[in-house]
Amino acid sequence: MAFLKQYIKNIALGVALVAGFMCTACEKDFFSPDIDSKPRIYYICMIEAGEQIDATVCRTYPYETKEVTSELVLVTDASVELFVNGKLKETMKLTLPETEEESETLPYYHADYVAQPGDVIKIVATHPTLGKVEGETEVPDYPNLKDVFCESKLDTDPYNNNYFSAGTLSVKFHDDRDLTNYYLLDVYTVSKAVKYQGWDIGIITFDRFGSDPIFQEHIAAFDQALESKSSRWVFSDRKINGTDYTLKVNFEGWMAQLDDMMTAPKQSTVKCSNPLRNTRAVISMGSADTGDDTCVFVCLQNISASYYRFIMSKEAEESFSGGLGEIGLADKSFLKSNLSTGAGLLAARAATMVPIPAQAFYPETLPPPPH
Amino acid sequence: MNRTSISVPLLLLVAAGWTAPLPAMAASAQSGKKPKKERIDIRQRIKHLNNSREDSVRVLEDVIVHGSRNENFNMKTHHIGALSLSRGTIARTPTLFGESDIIKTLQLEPGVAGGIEGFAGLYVHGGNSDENMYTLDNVPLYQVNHVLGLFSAFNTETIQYADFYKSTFPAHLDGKLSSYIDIHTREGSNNGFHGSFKLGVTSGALNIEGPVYKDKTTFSFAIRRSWLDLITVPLCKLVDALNTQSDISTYAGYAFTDLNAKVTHRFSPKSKLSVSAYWGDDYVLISGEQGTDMNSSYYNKAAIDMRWGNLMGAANWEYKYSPQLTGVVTASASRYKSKMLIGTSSAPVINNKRYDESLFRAGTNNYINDYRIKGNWNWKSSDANNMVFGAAITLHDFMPKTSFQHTEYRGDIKDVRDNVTHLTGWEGNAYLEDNLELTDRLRLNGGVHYSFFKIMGAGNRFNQTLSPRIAFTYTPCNETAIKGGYSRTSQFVYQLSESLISLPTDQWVPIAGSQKPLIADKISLGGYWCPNHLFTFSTEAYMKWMQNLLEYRDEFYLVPPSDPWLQRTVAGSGTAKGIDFKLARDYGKITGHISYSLLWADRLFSEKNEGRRFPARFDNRHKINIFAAWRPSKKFELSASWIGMSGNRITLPTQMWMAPDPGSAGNGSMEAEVRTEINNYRLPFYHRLDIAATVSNKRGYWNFSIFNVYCQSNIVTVGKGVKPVEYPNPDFKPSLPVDPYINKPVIVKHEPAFVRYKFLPIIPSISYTWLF
Repeated sequence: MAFLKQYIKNIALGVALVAGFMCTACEKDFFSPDIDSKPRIYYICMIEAGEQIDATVCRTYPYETKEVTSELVLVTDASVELFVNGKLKETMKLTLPETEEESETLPYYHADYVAQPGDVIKIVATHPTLGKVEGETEVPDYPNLKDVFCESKLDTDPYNNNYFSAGTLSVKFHDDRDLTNYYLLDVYTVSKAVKYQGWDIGIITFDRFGSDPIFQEHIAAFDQALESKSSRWVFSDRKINGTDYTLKVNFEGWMAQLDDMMTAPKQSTVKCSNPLRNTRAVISMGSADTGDDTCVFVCLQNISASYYRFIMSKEAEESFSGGLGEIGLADKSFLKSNLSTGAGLLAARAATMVPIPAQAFYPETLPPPPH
Repeated sequence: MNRTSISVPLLLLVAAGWTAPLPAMAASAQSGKKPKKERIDIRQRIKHLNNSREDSVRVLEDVIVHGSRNENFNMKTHHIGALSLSRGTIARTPTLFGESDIIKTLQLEPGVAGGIEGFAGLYVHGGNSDENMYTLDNVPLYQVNHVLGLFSAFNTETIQYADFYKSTFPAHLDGKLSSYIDIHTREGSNNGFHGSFKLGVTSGALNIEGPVYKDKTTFSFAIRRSWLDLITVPLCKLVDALNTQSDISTYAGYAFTDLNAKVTHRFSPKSKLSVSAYWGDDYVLISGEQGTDMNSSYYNKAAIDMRWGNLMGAANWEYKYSPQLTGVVTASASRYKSKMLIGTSSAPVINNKRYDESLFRAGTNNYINDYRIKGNWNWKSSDANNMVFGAAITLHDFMPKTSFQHTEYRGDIKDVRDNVTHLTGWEGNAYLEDNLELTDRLRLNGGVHYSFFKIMGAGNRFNQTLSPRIAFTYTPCNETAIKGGYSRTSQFVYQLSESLISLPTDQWVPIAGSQKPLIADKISLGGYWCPNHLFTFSTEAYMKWMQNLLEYRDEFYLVPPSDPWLQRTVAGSGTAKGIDFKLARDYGKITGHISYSLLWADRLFSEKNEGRRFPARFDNRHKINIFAAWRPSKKFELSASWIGMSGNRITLPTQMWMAPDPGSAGNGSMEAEVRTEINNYRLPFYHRLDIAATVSNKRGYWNFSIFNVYCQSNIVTVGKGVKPVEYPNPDFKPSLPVDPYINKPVIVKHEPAFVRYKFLPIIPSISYTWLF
């Protein structure tokens, strides 16, 4: 389905172009525009609540740069200051990879200060030739994740001789009434096959289109049709401010092919608990070997307004009109930066994560696996 | 030289209020007598006729007036930059694919930019494309484009004449900021059935007219349809048949249709009723289907369907109350709609039968319905004073963009629909205009146009505008005129578009909530010199201030789609100033004009470009137009137009940054553009020559045209791309044989580079029009 949607999105773009320039040759050549363009300084800093703060300071570069290297982009001779709640907290220190294991890590500026929910963080980077860049953001509080549970149903696909599991993943949380909250729901799917009751369980796929109505707040039904995104949803609390809300996300989980067709639909509901905090831990767990029975991590993040705008601008850039903007037939879309130089990002988030075992997506009792 | 053939008695022409060129050459013929040629001043003749008893007037069988309706139009009209176009003028303008088009004719006027190459855009004196009022038989139309904007919706064959105002505006016109294009369709002939059939490169057209009831009732009917789909559909089939590697079958069809119909009934010499209708429709249907053959185990289909167009019906009742007082009452209904639908379907196939089909549909649509009654009266109280007054009331019915989504699988049906409010609004207009001849040398045109607009429902303000107009013409001698004027114009309905081409996703929306009407104030000053009746030299300078302009704000995507569109917009202002020069020759075997325009146009929005002023997209600083038509005989006419102008502006980011991938915690891994000033780059100078020739024979005429004769590769846009660059291969071993994969002397690297796109090369076209 995703392929087809991308296909018709391409068709729609093609129609605009082909009809516009029908029956004519389209010629192109390369050139260098005569525009005064200077590099700017920026940084990328994703603050995690409860973690120390790291920022990578960089410079912008001309589009025509033949090879973009770390040496070209990274800035290591800047002065970087951290302000917390309006006061200078510390000067961030440049941290270089020391061991061979860290050689993949890029140089970054580090502050020992541990970010707390509610902190207003400002970072100012100054460079002798590139100038100054600054930005500010507020660290959100951890989302109050109350419950995650799955309702699944085993069904058969007789035409392909498959079993499959279909159901709804529900994520219940409480929204703080006093604040404007922005959320990111991310569902990490472990890419390895999971063994469950003797079955090799395949990847769980999540239905972005038929998901919770709250997502309609942020993307129109038609625009959504042209989307081909993975299991990541961004939303605000505009319609749910101060309430307990249960997000619902539909999924399908496939199982290995059967030798014989069987029809034995079964249902189950599994409640998951023990939410974990700290985004870095979540992400490292999502990519780690977490045991045979864990296949999905549900991560609800409370994100800063700057990060929300950045993600929404990314979606706008990938939209149909964003595509027209790329070829000069519409206003240009840019990724939203909250820094003074128009590049870079200072964002913050606080995450709560729940690992979901495979049994949540499949009924407790499965038919015997094929031999 | 223009040639207007008049097939109705002169008396009726005069009664209908027709104004002819002054003076003109007329040739008349009466049955059994030799044709007579005479130079007459029709204004004097009109006076004479008015004083005559009708039964004493001999009805001429045929009158052919040689001359242009445009002749001295600039000298005589009060209004700067006014122009009147006949069907012939429009038809002789060379155009893309030979499709004559009023908008493309207007693009050749000074102070008018055409937007993107080949498209029927109209940007007048630094204004936007939605600031032009198109009226067809006194009824305003909204979207007037076919083929995403390549052609306009006006079939030239149906046009009797069109008036164009771009600098100062008479008080009876309001509703848009930049220009007014008042198009009147032709009435059917009283003298038997006539018609034409045209077949061109892109479309075919049939026009037919004639009497229904002799001397009382006539009709005219015209239909035009493109026939691109007759090529694309079999072409797709052919490609699919040749591509044996794939089992996908593709359908790609596009067509536009225009239908104009008009019935005119004369109750008496004083009373005439015209009922006209227009229907314009565009559709695009593209689909791909896979798995339809017997061996397929899975079926897939994807389709996109776009449709947009206008439907209009109008009744115009003209009545001559007295020789001094005439009036027209118009009742009309119009509808503009656009919609886009996409759909997919997939299912496993067993024994050539589909099971558990999964369906997905999503669509968007937008429409605006108008119901309007208008009265317009013209009272000539004396030879020196003429008043125009009238009023109109319009009921608007808006459906701003709404979208839906439908999924269906194994009986599980889900429907999602955006919660968009349907809006009803009332618009009222009243105006008074006076044309006063103070002296033989000084004439004034003054007036005022009052409008109100209200969207029903709480939270929407009641908007009123009072638009004063004043224009003067001072003619120190018969060959010279100096004109000046001030106009305020207002606009209540505007277009929100995410692109510069005409797409069904464009929305026509009203001002609502606390939004204020769009306002433009313009002062103009012009000089006209007509040393003989062959040449006219004119210069027009203007300054325009625009307020409350509405556009998408920079971060409009943050506003939820279920919210009113007005929260996605930001109000701003703009200025435009410039000067236009034009030298025109309207008579003789060679006619045409040369013009030059100088323009500055900019915009200022608090939430665009970080609150800094930026140049308008079509801030074409210099523009030169040359148009010439040569008619050595009645059977042959050659015309050519050359256009040269400063390029359009675009936003071109040159610096990049490495942005984090949303959702990840890592450093920048995704290349992104650094926001830059809006419209910071001007495309190179644009120029092109088009020619057209018309060869007539007894049965009709051939039209040959060449667009972009010297195949100038004009740059239409600039984007980012990659350039293949060859480098010596350090691993190449000359001692070994050259191998394209292993041992090659050069290696190719793809390096980032800016790409200039050039779209329209030389395009010849041909059409034949059969007259009957």
